[in-house]
Amino acid sequence: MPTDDHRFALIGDSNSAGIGRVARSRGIPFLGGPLSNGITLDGDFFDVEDGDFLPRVDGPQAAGFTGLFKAGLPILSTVGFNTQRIAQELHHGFYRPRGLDHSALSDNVLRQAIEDYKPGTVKFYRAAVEEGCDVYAVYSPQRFPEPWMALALRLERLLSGMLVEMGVSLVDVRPETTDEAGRLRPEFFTERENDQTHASDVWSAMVLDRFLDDAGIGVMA
Amino acid sequence: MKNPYQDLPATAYWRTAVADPDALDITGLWQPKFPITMTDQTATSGSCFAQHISRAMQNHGFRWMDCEPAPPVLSPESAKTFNYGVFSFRTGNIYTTTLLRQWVRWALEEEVPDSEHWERDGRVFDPLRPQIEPGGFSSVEEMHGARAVTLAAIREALVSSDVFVFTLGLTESWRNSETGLVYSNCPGTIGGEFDAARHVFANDTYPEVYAAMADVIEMAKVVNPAIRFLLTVSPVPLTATASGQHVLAATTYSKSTLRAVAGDLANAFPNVDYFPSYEIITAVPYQGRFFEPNLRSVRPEGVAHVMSQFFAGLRSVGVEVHTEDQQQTPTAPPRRVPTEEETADDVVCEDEILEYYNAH
Repeated sequence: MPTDDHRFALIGDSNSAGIGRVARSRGIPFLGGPLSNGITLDGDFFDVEDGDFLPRVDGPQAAGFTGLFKAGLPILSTVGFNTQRIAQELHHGFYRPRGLDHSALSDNVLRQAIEDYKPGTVKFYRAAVEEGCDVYAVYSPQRFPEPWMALALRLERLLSGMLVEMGVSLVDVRPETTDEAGRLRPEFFTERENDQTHASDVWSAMVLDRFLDDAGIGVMA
Repeated sequence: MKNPYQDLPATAYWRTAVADPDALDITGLWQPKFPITMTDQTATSGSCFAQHISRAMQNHGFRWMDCEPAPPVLSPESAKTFNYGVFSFRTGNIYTTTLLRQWVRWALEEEVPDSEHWERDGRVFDPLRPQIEPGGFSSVEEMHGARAVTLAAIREALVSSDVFVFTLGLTESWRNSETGLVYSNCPGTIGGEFDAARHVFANDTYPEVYAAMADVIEMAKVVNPAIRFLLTVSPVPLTATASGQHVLAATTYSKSTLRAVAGDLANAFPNVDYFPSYEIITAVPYQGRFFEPNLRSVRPEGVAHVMSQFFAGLRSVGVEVHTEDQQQTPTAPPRRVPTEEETADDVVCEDEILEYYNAH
């Protein structure tokens, strides 16, 4: 349940875990945390009941999101920015078998593909904005496998454009954390073994700082 | 001495073949020149009536070629919105033989594709298929990229199909007097801006319609010597004519020309047949019953009757045809099995979340 101490709300996939860890370590109270993996958040993962967010996700963490839409807290979200999955699907199931390069599909087709493949993502941001929430979406850490890296980034650009049109703000630390090709710089990789996807808590801290600045949230040091 | 009419079958006589039977009992309207079997790869293209043929062939178990399939992440509804699966490639309607020839020349690299594009409100439209993407393209490069995919699909259809079904729709079209580009629609109607100095009306004559289609047949034979063509003529009247004639007279001119060309091509080429969908909808015995109240759109019963005649014709030459009941309802293609790498990524993501909630 939200309390007067909460400074913001957090929701998302595994990329939100680091952000939550950093906030905890700094003693910044917040509502929520990581809700589920990216696949689940692509699907229809919640309902809106009496103007509030009601997750359809199993697990004890689900109870931690009561009041997400009603608490009046700025929401920081990583929901939907796992664009590597749809990029992978298109790469293996469409482009590669037909020998096409990634320019073969228009932005409009890909935007529709995002709507169709990620109905939960699109529904979440629309619902949050409609309920009057200030929503901040976080770009992914920009760690994607090379064969569909460019496509994943293009999809991310299209998704972020759709969100901006809805009234969502973007938290963007890409200029400080990526190389010339747009890839996450190795110094921001997570130290976890066999993890080719996530960023370190340094990256998460940069995201959190940028969000707190952008949302105008003051915190006691 | 007998005269040539004495031994003719009942179908050769108007009274016994047409006037006496109930219209829906008229049979034997098509004797296929060659069988089209359920194992033949069949491509379809042409005017809007050709869409019905695509659908009916799929519903009866024929191997309809989808040379430009929708990306697997689009829902079936979205795929339709973006005009996937309507014809064997994503050209939209091809009403005239001259437009088909232009597409084929580009696809087979006989000509360099024209570079013209249209713009409106910052969006880009393909003059050959202005409605192919709702809202148009985001850039000229994107428009040409998408067109290149369609040209590759047309080439694949020509190279790989056993049967290429084309429905001739119109003789009237609009062209660019400077470049010779044949448009799919008059500029300024559903896209572009009309410029009387450059946009000229053409009402193709019999020789022009014939030559364009014959060129297509010859070009296709070069890349696929075994290809067969099945021609039909759309029974749908003209929405409007720019010929200066009454639209009824213009429709008669257009359809008569197309019908004559289709018949003569079938007579001239051993690999070309004609299926009389036009007659089955428009002929006197049917008394217009297959048209909607606008006297233009064909009612579903009309389409069903046309296709029943089509499949009856095939059965008459020994082709097995599934009924729609026998044909399994198409289901969505199975989802791709994730690779080991992807599965490992999922596990990593789950671990990250579990660890976050680990109080210890």
